[in-house]
Amino acid sequence: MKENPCFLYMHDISKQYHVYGQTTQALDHVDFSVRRGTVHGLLGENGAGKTTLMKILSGVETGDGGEIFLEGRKVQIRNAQDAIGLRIGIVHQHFSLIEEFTVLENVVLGREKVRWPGVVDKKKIRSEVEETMKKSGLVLDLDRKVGTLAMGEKQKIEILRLLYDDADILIFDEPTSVLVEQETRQLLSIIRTLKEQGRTIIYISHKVDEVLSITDELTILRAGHSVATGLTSEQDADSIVELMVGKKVEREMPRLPVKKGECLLSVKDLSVREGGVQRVKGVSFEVRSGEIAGIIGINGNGQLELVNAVCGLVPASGGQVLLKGEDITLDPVLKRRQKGLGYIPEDRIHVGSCSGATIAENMEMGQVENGKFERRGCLEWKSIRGWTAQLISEYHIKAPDPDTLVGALSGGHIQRVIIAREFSGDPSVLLAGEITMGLDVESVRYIHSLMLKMRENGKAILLVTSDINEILELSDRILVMHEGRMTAVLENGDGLSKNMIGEYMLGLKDQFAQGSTEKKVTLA
Amino acid sequence: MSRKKQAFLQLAVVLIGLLLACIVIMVCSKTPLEALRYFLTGPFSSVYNFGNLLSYSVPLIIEGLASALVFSASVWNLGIEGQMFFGMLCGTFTACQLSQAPAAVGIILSVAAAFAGGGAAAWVSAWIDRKFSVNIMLSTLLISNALSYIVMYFLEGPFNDPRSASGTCSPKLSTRFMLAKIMGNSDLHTGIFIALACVVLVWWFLHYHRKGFEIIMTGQNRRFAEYSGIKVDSIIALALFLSGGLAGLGGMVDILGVHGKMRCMMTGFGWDGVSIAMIARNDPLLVLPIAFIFAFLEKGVESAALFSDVSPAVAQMIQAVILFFATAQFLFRRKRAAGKKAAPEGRTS
Repeated sequence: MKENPCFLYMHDISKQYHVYGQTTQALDHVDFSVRRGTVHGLLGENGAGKTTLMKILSGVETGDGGEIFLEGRKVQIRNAQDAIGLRIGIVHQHFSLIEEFTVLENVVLGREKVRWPGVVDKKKIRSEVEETMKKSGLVLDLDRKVGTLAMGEKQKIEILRLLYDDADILIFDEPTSVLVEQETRQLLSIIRTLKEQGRTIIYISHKVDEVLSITDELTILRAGHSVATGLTSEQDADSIVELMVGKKVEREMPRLPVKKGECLLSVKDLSVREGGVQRVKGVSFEVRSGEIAGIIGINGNGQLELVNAVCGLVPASGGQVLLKGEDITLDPVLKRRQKGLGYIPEDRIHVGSCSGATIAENMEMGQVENGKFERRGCLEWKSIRGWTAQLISEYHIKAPDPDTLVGALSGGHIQRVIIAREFSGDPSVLLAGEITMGLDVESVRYIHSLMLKMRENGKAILLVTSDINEILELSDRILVMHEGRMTAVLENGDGLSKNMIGEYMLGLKDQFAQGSTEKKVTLA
Repeated sequence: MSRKKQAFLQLAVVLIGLLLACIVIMVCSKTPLEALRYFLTGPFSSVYNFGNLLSYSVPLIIEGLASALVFSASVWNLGIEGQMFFGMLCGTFTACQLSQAPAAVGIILSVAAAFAGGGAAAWVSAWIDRKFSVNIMLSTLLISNALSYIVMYFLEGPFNDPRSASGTCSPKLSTRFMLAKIMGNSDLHTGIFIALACVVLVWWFLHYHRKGFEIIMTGQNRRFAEYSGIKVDSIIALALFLSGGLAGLGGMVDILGVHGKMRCMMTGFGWDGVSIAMIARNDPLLVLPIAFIFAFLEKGVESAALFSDVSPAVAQMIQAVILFFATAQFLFRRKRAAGKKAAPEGRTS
C-alpha cells in the first residue's frame, strides 16, 4: 500500500481549561500525525491531554489554536457534524446508548433515512445496517434491547454506528477500561480487521502492554506536550512508562507476607434491594486482620450496593454485617465510623469530597461528633488548619495551604485528601472503592503503597475495583461478583489467570451455583 | 480574595439596579429632576425620615437572615412569609395574654413564642418530607399559604379588636411591651440592635458552630454529608426550624417596635427576605447592606411618590429588576462553573 506520510496532521494545537480560577494548559502547541491504514497509539497519563486532543479532532471540543490537515488539505472541524463529514468518528470511554432501544435503533439514531412524508424507512435502514455488518465482520443481534447487553457488545454498537457513518478514521478512547479479558481480546481482533480494511485507527490508552500489542506507531503526551513519537517496534515498556511519567518510576512495593489475625469484618448472607430490584443476593465473606480482600466484577453487578450496605449508606434487606464480632447491621453511618469503619468511596468527586469546600473543611468532616477540635460546639478552625497542614505534608498533597478548595486539586490529590481523612480516624476495617481509577501513575503507586502499609499494620481492607491488574497486585483473596452473587472466592497466587477470573466475572462459571459440578476450583 | 470579589460584585449589581431605578423614575415623571431628588435624598432629608428608613430595614434584615440560613443548607424554604405571619400571631397572642406581666417577661416570652411558632410551621415541612417524602419547596410554600388564611381567620374572628378604626387587626399590646424609640420622633426602635445581633449570631453560627458547619456542608454536597456520618434529615429539620423561627422573630420585632398590634395584612417582608438572601448569596454579613438598600429603595420611592408624580409601584419593579440581575448572573456563573467542572474530567483519559 502506498502510504501518505501525512494522512492526518494536527499542527500546533493548544487548549486551555479554566477550573476554579486556575488555568490549565491541557494542550500546549502539540503536533500529531498519523499515517493512513495504521493503528496509532496515543499514550499518556491521565490529564496528559490525550482525550482533549481527540475531542478536538472529533469536533466535540474546539481548540484555542492550531490547524488540522487531512490528506494535505486544511480542514475546519467546528462540531461533531463536521467530523462525521470528514469521516472521523470516536468511540468514547463512556457509551452514549439508550438502554430501552434496540441495537438497530441505537445504531441509526439521529441518522434515520426518512421517506416522504416524514416516515422512517425501516426496511431500508435495516438492510443498510446489515450490509455494514457484513462488510465489517461485526455481528450483532439487531433486535435485542441494549440494556440486556454486556459492555463488550455495547461497545460493538458504538463501533457499528461509526461504520454506518462510513468513518475512515476511528478513535478509541480507553476502549478496554470497561472490558474483561475475553472482551478485550475480541476488541483487539476487531481493530485488526478494521485496519486490514484500510481504515486508520487512533488508540488512546495508558495501558502500556495493550498499546505494544496492537499499535504500529505511537505518540506519547505528557502534561500537554508531545514528548515522543515513533514506531512501536522500537519501544519497550519501561522506556514508554518513563516517557509518560517524565522520570524513572519505582517498582511497585512487594506484597510482603503478613500474618493474618482475627476476623475483623464479617458479612453474612447480606442482601440489598434498591429500586425494587435485588442488587445483592445473599453474599457472605470475611476479612481478617492483615488481609486485603478484593472484590471484582463488571460495573453494576452489585459491588457498589454491597459496599454501601456495609458502610451504612443503604439499608440491608437481609443478612448481617459484623465489625469485630459486633453486629452493626442496623447502625447509622456515624456509629459505624465511630466503631472503626473507614470508607473511601468509589465516587471521589460527589461522595468522597466536597469540591466547593476547602481542604480543612473536608478534613474536619471526618471528625463529625467526636469532639476533637471543638469546644462546646464551637469549632476551633485554627487547630483544624494546623492539623490539616500536617496531613498535607504527611500525604504529599500538592496544595499551597489548608484553605485551598478541593475542587482545584487534581484527581490524585483529591484522593489523597480523602485517604488522609479516612486514615486519620485510624479505622480497623477499611472499605476502599476504585481507589486508583483514572489517576496518574505516581499517585497509583503511592496509594497502593499506603494500602499495603495498612495491611502490614494489621488492618482489614476490603478493596472493590474493576481493574484486574490492581486486584492481582494488592489482594490476598479475590472475591468475584456477578449479578449480585458471589461466583468465586480465589486465593491470589501463581495458579490464577486473568482469563479464569474473567470467566467468573462474566458468569460463565460459578463456584457456588447449586448443583455445580466444579464445586471447588483447585488452584496450583 | 475571591470571596471579597464576589461580595463586591453582588453590591455592584444592586447599585446598577439603583441606577436603573433613577432612570425609570426620571422617565416616569413629568418633573424628572425633582422626582429624582426626592428619591435619592428623601430618606436622608431628616432625622425622622432616616429613622424610619432604618426601622423599615429591621424586619428586612431578619427575614433576609431567615432565608440565608436555610438556603445555606440547599433547602428551599419558600414559606418564610407565612411562617412570619404565623409567628407574629403566636407572639401577639402571648403578649396579649401576659398583659399584666413585667415588661421584660412579656417581651421575651412573646418573642420566644413568635420564634417557636414560626419555627414549628417550617419544621413541619421537614417532618412531612421525612415521613412521606414530599418536596420541601412545595410543602413550605403550600403550608405557609394555608397558614396565612388561618391566621387571617383568627384576626378577623376570635382575636379581633372590634374597636379598631384602622382596618382589621388584633387587640393592642400593652404599651409597656413596646421597644424604646431611639431616634427623635421617628419609628426607629431598639429592635435594630436585635437585628444586628442576629446578623452576627447567624454569621458566627454558620462559620464557627459545629451544627452551622454541618448545615453548610449539607448544602454544598448532601451525599458527602451523608457519607461523613452527618444526620442529614435532622440537619435539614434544624435549618428549617431556625429559619422559620427567625422569620417569626423578624415580624414580632416589627410589631413590638412600630405597630403595637398585628394587622391583618401580608407585609411582604418574608418574600423580600428571600430576594435579599439570594442577592446576598446567603452571606449573613452581606444581608445587612442589601436589606438596607431594599429599605432605601422602598422609602425613596415612597418619598418621590409623596412629593412628585411617581407611582409607588416603581419600588417593586426596581426590586424585581435587581433580583433579576442578581440571579441571572448567579445562573450564568453556575452554568459556566458547570462547564468548567466538566473540563478536568474531560481531560482525563
